[in-house]
Amino acid sequence: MKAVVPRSELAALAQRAQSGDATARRDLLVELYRAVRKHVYLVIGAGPMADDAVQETMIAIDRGLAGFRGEASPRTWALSIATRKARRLRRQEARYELVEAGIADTAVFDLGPVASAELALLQRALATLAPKKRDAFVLMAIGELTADEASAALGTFPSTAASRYRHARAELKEFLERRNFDEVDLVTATTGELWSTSTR
Amino acid sequence: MVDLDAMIERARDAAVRRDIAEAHVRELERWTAHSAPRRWLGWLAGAAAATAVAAALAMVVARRAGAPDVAPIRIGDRVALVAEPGTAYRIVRAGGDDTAIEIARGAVTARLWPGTRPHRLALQGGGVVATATGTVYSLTVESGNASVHVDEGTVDVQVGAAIHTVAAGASWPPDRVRVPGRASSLLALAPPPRAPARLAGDRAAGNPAPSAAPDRPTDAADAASSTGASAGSPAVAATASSAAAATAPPSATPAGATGTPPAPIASAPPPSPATTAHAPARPPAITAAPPAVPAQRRTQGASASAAAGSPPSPPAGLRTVQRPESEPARATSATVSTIKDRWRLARQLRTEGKLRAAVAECLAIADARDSTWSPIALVEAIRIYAGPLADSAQVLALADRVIHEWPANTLVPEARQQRCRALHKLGRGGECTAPLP
Repeated sequence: MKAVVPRSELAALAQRAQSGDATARRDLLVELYRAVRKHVYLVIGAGPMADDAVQETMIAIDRGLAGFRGEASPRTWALSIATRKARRLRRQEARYELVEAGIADTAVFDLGPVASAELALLQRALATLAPKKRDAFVLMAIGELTADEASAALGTFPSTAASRYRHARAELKEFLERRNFDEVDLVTATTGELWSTSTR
Repeated sequence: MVDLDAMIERARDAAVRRDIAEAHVRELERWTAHSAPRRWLGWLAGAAAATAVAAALAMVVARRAGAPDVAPIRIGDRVALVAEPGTAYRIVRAGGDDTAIEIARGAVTARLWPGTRPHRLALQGGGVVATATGTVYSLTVESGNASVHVDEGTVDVQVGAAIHTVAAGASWPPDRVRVPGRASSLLALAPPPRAPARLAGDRAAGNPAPSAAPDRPTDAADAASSTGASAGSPAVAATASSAAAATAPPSATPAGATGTPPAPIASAPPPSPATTAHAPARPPAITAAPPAVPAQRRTQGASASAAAGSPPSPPAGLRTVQRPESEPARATSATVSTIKDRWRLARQLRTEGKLRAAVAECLAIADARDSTWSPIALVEAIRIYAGPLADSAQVLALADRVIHEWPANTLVPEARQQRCRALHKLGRGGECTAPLP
């Protein structure tokens, strides 16, 4: 069962928040924060830059909520903002490593140890992709955006977004097959140990 | 083997802990509540600054748009003036040696050209008399308070018994904000043509000064006709009455100055001592009109012109500047002397002890901007002021002029030397080594 709130419920929350319902506004921001935080973790990783991206995204959401027209899902809207913020920070702070080695910021997720390790593994695998492909894949595969929605967030054509997604998926599959991870690795690896013990 | 699709499916289900999310949102709300007023203040400050800038621009634009081009008016062959719109003034005296203009309110900018004999130009009003012997300056009277700004030369400002010397670029009172004047239009005027050298002696003997022919559209005769075409311009009436008065003998010069009627004027009403307001820019001062035309005829012509333009009837006794009948004829018959002749005249006048006239001739040569003779004439004038006339302020002004106008001339060292001596005499010896402004 998915932990995320359905689209229709988020849209209703957004409407109530725009009409002045403080509780709905807070609930909406909480849900959007959860989506944004996961998205940023997958496209940037953990560390100061990721924190900045989350912070800037949430501020933009908070300020822009009054002008949100409801043409897209609030989550799509939030992920679009997060994608732009992350991309801008990535360009500004190119000196940073995309993913800081050994850090698996899975503590913020409500997951068991295996699922956390698996999420960390996915994030590691995503880090091997080119940023454009990574953004497209995270938006479409994890965020479940359509090609149209992802293209709007990425500022490109839907066919381009879909193409990037396909290439990213192929590269991820190849990465995982080449590394030949197994369940033992996932169970024993909780943080940086994963990387050091599974590179065989 | 890890299945990618299964991994993606579990990643979709992975959710950030709610308590962390709620803590972050609380922090966000606290931060936005705290920063909202500052944002609002920032926008307010920005808007206020933008409004101030827009208002300043609007004022500048309005001021420029509202300041019509004002044609200078010549008074005789030595003086020209420009009055700001709405200025109330009158010409108290306009003789060969002396021109006095009284300003009741508004601003008048005047220029006095150097000539072969000294000429005193005085702008008075608001309890102040500003006198110059060759300069461009303005007197502004607002709510009874007067201020003087000097654009060129040096002006003595007399306030009661005190006399303040104001140099070019300075104002009196010193803290008074400069009112945009009309100096540029006056400075753009060409110097009036000069009489031959021998006429100086005639004038010194009491003969009237030669006058330039009315070669400018703002001269009396032209002014009467041109302003007559502009409906609603009170200046037309003033010009008409002035044209009538132009035939009066020189002894009647101070029309309306003291309240006593001037010498008989053919058909013009007796001049009134009251100051007359002139709304439009063109003041009613008059220069020499063609003397061959009878006064009455010219008055009728001017009145007809005024009637055609349907301007208001002129107030009586407006300013007049009289020219003797013989004067224009002498001026037109005179040949303009060469600059070398002027220099000879200046030397001759100095030899004869006519120092002021010699200085005036030197300044006329200086105004000609001749690269050979102008610096020589300026230094000659400096020597006269430094020696027999003992006027250190004039030495200072002229030395500055030499240094600024002819910085590469070989006479500049002498000008600097004279300047330092003058500064020492004025008790400002410390400024001698300071760089020139």
